[in-house]
Amino acid sequence: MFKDITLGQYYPSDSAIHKLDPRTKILTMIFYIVAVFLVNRIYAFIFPAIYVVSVMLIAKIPLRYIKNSIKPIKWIIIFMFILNLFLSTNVENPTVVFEWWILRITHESIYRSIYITLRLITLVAGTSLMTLTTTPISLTDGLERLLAPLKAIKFPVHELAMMMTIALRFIPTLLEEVDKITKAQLARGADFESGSIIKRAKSMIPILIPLFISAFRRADELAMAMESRCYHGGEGRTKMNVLKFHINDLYAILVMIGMCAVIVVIQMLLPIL
Amino acid sequence: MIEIKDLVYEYMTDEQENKVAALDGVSLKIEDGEFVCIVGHNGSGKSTLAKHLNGLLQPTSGDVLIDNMNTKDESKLLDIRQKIGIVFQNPDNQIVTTVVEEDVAFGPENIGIESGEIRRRVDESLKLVGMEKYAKNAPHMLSGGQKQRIAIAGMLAIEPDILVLDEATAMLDPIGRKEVLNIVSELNKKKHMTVIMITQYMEEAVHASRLIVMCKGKVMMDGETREIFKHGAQLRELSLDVPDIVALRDELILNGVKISNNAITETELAEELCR
Ligand SMILES: Nc1ncnc2c1ncn2[C@@H]1O[C@H](COP(=O)(O)OP(=O)(O)O)[C@@H](O)[C@H]1O
Ligand SMILES: [Mg+2]
Repeated sequence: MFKDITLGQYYPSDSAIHKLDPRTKILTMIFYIVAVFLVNRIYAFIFPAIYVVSVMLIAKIPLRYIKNSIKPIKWIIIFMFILNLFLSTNVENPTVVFEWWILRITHESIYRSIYITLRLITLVAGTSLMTLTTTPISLTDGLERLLAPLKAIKFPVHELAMMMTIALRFIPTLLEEVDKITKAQLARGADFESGSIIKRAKSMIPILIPLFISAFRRADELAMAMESRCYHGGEGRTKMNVLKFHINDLYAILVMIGMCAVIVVIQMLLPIL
Repeated sequence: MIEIKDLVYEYMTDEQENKVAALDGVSLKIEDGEFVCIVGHNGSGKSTLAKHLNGLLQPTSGDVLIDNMNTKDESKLLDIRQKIGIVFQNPDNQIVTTVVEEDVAFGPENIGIESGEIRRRVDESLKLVGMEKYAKNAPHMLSGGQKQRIAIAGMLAIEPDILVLDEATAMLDPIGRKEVLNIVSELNKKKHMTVIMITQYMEEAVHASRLIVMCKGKVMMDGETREIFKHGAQLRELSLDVPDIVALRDELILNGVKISNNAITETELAEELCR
């Protein structure tokens, strides 16, 4: 049952977006975040929105995936919306819409609530584009290359990437193991469902302990197997799949820079809303 | 060539008094191109021996030489590990990455081969184990036998001269076991690779030309497989069984059927009987 679990939320397809270099996708995501933070008028959120929708269309990802990516944080969004509604703004003479006891909603706070909500939604929707179009493993690869200069200051770039790779590799294996141990304990009469929260938490111990023991044994064996395969750290290591920038990568970066520029210029020319 | 001289190994335990010698004076010589099978029941020191072959463990005393390179010489370890590949028991704990072909590439990447050559080796190795169709798959979706074939391919991509399989078939179903055995036999015959197969299944020993029997950290018997199977009683004393066919052969001889005690496979026995 755990076998088909997907990490992150990769949506397989062979679109031009999927084929971009993972480094490009990380960089465009950073530019995208900058672009969203450059927006200070509500109407300008139309640019990130257009960007997200067009990337989804080019990547052949159904638009409902935008909704899926926002769903996990919907309570945070609602909370932020309500909180901002009642927080006072630092405007001189706010136009009061509603006032009761110490609660006060003003025109300005409504504006700010909408603004914050849109910012959160566009941020999450845009950054999820990266995980939708890139496998975790190629993201790791991209990160390793991008952070490579940090090796000069003794930052363990390769080791981090290797740890991420191994974690990604073993998550399905360990999930399968949890499944097995749970069934084995159930067969011995263990009860994970009834009782108070504390009792239920305690009943997890017979699952966690075997899991940890087996994880340590696996780690030990894996280390041996890696050493047998000549692993000796990142030094002198090569790669089968060498990352290469293509012309599309250049276009992607240019589009992002273009969007940031458009947002800045338009907001200067049109200081409404 | 592998040369093991008076190898002793003791695992470190908390109490110094009852140290166990997992290997107790093992001396062996294995020539290039041999197909050797090492048998022995649980705890007889087979895995400990295997881990000495590529320097994962260092001898308490004695020496292990691979092509005259001593495993004690740290500067030679990487060279030794390129010459001798070990496949372990649990396929799950040998696969490092999330894509089959990237995992096969792991070894060559570690020794700094350039990317085009890695590609060639990966494709070739996957073809040798018959897994080329699964190059882009996720390893955890494969069967045990398939995973073990990937692990073998990962070793082949390093292009070693010697392949060691430490109970690599123990966790596989009969079909998976057969697949692995066939691949290993082919490698020995066609590529003249030295193969050392460690196993508890006597049936598998039939494939090897030389059989080494271990017990309590010592080599008890060492010789041509066919010859060793003539000493069924001695094997049983070491709580090991001869393969069913050999047992049948001995039983037939005991009951007065006039055949020689040479046959160790079904076809050989059938031929003897039809003569
Ligand atoms: N990590 C270890 N620590 C202590 N003793 C060990 C360890 N591994 C193996 N042994 C002991 O060494 C002996 C040989 O084990 P091993 O080489 O694994 O045998 P085999 O592979 O033939 O089953 C056994 O008695 C075992 O208990
Ligand atoms: Mg063993």
